[in-house]
Amino acid sequence: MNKNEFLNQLRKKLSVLSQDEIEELISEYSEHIEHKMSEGKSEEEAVNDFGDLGELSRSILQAYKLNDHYTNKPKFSELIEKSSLTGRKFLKTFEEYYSKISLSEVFKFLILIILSFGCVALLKFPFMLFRSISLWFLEIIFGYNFISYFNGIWTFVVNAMYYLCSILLMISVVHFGQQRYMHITHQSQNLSKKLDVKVDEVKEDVVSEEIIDKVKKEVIYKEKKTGGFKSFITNLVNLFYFMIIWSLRLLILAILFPVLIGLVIGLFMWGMLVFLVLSKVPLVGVMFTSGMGLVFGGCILFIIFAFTFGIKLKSWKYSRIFIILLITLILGGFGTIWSLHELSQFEWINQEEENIVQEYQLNDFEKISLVNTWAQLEIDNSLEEGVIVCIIPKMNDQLNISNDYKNLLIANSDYSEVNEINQIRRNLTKLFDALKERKLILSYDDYSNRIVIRVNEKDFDALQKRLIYN
Amino acid sequence: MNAQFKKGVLELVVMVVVDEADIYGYELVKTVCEIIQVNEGTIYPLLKRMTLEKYFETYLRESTEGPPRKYYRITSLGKEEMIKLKKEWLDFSKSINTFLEKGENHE
Repeated sequence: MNKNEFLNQLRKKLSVLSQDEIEELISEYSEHIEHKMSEGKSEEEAVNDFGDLGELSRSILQAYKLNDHYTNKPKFSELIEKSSLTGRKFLKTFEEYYSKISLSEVFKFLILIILSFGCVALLKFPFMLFRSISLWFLEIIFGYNFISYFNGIWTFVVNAMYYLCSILLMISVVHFGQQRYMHITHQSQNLSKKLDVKVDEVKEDVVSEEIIDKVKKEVIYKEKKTGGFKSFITNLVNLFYFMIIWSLRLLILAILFPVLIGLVIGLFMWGMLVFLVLSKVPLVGVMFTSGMGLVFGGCILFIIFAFTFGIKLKSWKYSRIFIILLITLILGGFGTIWSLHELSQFEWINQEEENIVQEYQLNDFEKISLVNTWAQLEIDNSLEEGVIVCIIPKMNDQLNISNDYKNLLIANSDYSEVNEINQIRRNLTKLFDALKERKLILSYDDYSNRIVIRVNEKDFDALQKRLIYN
Repeated sequence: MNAQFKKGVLELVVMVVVDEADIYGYELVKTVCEIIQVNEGTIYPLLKRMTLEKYFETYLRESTEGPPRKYYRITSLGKEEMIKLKKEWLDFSKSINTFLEKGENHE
């Protein structure tokens, strides 16, 4: 590029300036090049010493606090470059914006929304109460006829008030969330944007700290100033948020209190399980699972507490808690399978074996010979019709008969005899089922734990034979 | 030398050079380039900006060879700014030097 080409191109690039200014600049540059040439440099070299023409014109225009975008009609390639740049810039701000909202904040916000739904549901009750009480008063004052007309309208009005309140509540919750979690990021972004713009103007030259500080102060001052113009309504709305937040907190506390008690009881039960395991009752899986459940519940409680009262935790603490939650969930899953396997080893006492029971009739007493060690027959003479017999289980505290005689529960403290007890239970069940089938059971005496049955003499003989003399 | 370093002190150097004696564009660029190796193209815009900011004023003076030359002269505002920048630079470089020397002693 020779001198004239260079100066012409520069003139084009600077066309936005006034003619005088351009001429002044051009003459200065031309003079510079001439000087250089007189010192023995070639024309090309002298021009090249200025470096990139685009950069030069840009920095000149920036000296005038002008943006070089104005200078030339954008060429197609420049347009593409510019649009891609804008795209990238947009993506970057988008990224920055969302990276500033941490997981915990999103979580907090979600919990807030869920809770506000709960609040909306609870809000229904006072309105219902209000409606019925007001209707009652109106009826006293205006009489029944008036009320029959007014009822529908009044219900509609109260419902409308309720929906209005609910919507207000939801909006305020969402707004609060935005204000609290996004306002700060937004503000800082605005600040940095404004800073960027201002700094851009002086960037090419010496960016002194002082200028940035000045601009920062200015921006912050402006922010404060706009903040200071909060109207009365904004203050009212803020008060409303405040009240809602505190009522939400109290609500959460009220909900959490029973959960906390449950956790304490759970801990106690876990201690019992540990004791059982230590005394060689194989409940390791159950203990393990319940332990995991306790840790999980404790973590959740802790998180909810922290969120409710805005306790600021460092993000790593949250991430650790989440890791613990995940681990306990996985281990708890394994533990559940383990406990199910363990529990399947036990034979549950109130299991029903209807198919077998149905085979037995009262006459089949030979098949239930084991009963005699557990029950005795007693003749009750106070009743006149037929022969009244009472079957009294010998071990009162260990045999329990439900009111419909269907289930027999035999408790036994000695674990190793479970199978034997199950045998007895089955036999007793068969006996009672047989008695029920023939509608012989009159009643169950809860106090003395005896069953009153009515049998004819033949059956009584058979019963007695089997139960007592066998 | 680091381009960022240069950018930072270029304004100060230009001011000091102009403060010593009124000077015209080409001579100033030459003098400055002897002190800091910068692209000549960056100095003219800087001069322009500082003139617009009223740190410098310009006047034309006839020369023996060719057309009249544009001379730069520092204003009182520019002088104030220069003194401030100078002090800032000295303080800054002093603290950096002390810090670096301390680092060397440790090694």
